[in-house]
Amino acid sequence: MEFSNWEAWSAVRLSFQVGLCAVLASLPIAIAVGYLLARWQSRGKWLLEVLVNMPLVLPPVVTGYLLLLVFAPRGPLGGALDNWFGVRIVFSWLGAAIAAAVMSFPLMVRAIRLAFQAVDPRLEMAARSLGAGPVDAFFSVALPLARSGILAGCVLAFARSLGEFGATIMVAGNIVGETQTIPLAIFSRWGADAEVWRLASVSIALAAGALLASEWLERRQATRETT
Amino acid sequence: MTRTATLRIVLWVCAVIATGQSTAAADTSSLSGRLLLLAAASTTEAVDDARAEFGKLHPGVTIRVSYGASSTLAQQIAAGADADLFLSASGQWAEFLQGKQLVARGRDLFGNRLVIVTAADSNIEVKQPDDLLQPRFRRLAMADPKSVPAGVYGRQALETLGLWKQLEAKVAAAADVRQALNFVDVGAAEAGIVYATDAATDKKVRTALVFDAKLHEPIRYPLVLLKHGADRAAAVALYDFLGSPAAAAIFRRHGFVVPAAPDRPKP
Amino acid sequence: MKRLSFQCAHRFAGGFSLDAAFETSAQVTALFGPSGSGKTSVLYIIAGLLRPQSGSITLGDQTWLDTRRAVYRKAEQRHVGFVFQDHLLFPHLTVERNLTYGRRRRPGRFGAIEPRRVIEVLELGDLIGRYPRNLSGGEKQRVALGRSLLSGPELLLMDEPLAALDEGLKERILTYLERVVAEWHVPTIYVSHNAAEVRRLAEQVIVLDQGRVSQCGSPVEVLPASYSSL
Repeated sequence: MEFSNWEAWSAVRLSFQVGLCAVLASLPIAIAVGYLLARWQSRGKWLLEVLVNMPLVLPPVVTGYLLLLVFAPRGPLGGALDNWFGVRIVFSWLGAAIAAAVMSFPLMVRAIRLAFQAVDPRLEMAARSLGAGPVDAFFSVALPLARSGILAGCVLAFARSLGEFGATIMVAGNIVGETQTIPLAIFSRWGADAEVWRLASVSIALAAGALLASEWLERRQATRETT
Repeated sequence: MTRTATLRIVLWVCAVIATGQSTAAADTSSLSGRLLLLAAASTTEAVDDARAEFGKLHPGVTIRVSYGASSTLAQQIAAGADADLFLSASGQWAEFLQGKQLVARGRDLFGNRLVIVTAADSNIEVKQPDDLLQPRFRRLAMADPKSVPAGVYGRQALETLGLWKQLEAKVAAAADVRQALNFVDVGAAEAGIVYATDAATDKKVRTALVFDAKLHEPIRYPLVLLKHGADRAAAVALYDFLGSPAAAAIFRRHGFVVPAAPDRPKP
Repeated sequence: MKRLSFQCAHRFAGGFSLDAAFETSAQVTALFGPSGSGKTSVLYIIAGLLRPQSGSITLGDQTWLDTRRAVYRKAEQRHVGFVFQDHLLFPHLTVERNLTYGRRRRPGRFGAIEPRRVIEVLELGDLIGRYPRNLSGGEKQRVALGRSLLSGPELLLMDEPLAALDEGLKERILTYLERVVAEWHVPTIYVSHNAAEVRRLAEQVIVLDQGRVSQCGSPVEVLPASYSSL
């Protein structure tokens, strides 16, 4: 049961590929949702919050199973994607990216929402009074002032993607070189191979590094002048 | 020649060209395609070797394998994942898919033996299953005896021997065989019940005793050709190859029990 | 001088209700009253930053708000210059970018308000390349004033611009305000609870008390000489 170098490198490469994709794809949505949750005053807000935080509290396997049903070739989205673009989600790295994106979304939104909450909303009002429409005010004032926190959200989401297992194995399976990310590789070879510890240490180092970076960025956001 | 005869020959030639096969015995090296095989995690090394062998015969075919728990794999197939073949660690999941009308063909590929293992560096002896009742065996590691096939077979064997009631309290249920081996490795359990194939791969454990196959239901690993793969030449070829003597030799090498008797193909 | 006509009725979430109406064509009109009387809300409503349940606002021949006819002009389309109590300068932009923020969005609206003259009058020359966090309180307020002016406003709204400054500074900034009024004659609504400031700047005073207009007239009429502040 050797763990060939190629397989180990594949796992690392895939993890980065999946993580980066997941973060970049969900970033615009997370920014929109985070901003909405920070600024929107409405009694219906709790519904959005519940929806966003679901992947955080549901068993990952359940989330994965729901994604599987949606993206399978016979599913609502999977069928459309296959017919129009010839794109297969299930058992592909795209599926792993989607699973990672969904699972890390709540963390990303949380950090981004905190960032926007730290920005004085009256600054956007000042921008409005100077002739900026709401979208303009968002891009020229709110977004730049929230950027440290947004970055913190990205790093946190990336770290979460690196550790994502339960949903990934449901949607993307465990195919070496295609969908076997670091956690799956470690799990598949656990116990019988001491070399798997190398990968595990890589995993620990990456996670620790990402958490430190995220912490530092959040602190920068907090001390940044946003009023 | 008459015109209809000529037309027939022309059409036949076109058909042959279109399907890319000659009329002689199948020219296997021209097979191509991307196949998806879902296989039980406990068959990983054996299937990897078999896959490599198949690749030498059919270099144009790419086989992607996803290893996992049979239950998870079956759920994925039932939810619509387009796999071509499924190798299960128990009959239950093959039957589950058959009930969903997803199975085209099936055969039992091989079996396994159940063994008791102890840590390799310990000098604990297990001469017979009753020994497990002794107080020095505080914990017995097994895959979950309620749901994981390896654990279920283990429980059956102990039940047949009349030991289950007393040993049940000692059982340290693990999520799978790998974890059970881990328990024995690190000393969390003094002994474990696992497959012979798994015991062979873990150098930190020693096989102390092999269970008589009659003590439990026959351990079977059914290979299923799913309807999705049934009309793909490459998938059928893989299905046939895995049931062939060449593949049987590979499985035997990894410790699986391959029946010498002819298999029982399901219609 | 254009005539500003304001009327609104709005009940806030906390229970406070605003029900005020006034008209003015003065150069500087003061909104005078104790804190909590609704002065700032009136300013926000005029600016379009708060949408009242009912009301109407016209400036000259423009209708900015008329709830009976479902007319509502968005904040960014009302050419107001808002000067906040705590300046609200954009921290991530230099003084220069802050000053030109409004200009870049309303090109060609300055008419009589020339950038160079604004910088001269408010003495902003030395501050151009700096960031707001490196400015003193008085400097920040001057930049805020300049920023509103440079957006080419038809109406200046000032929400207690001197309240956050200490005494000596108040006098200095007040001088700048007088200069601005004298130079460009932009109609101004000046919110304050300080009678001395109101007497110096305003021609017309509207007194607000608990959300309602209680008095209206010239400073001499409305503010007795002994009143210093509320």
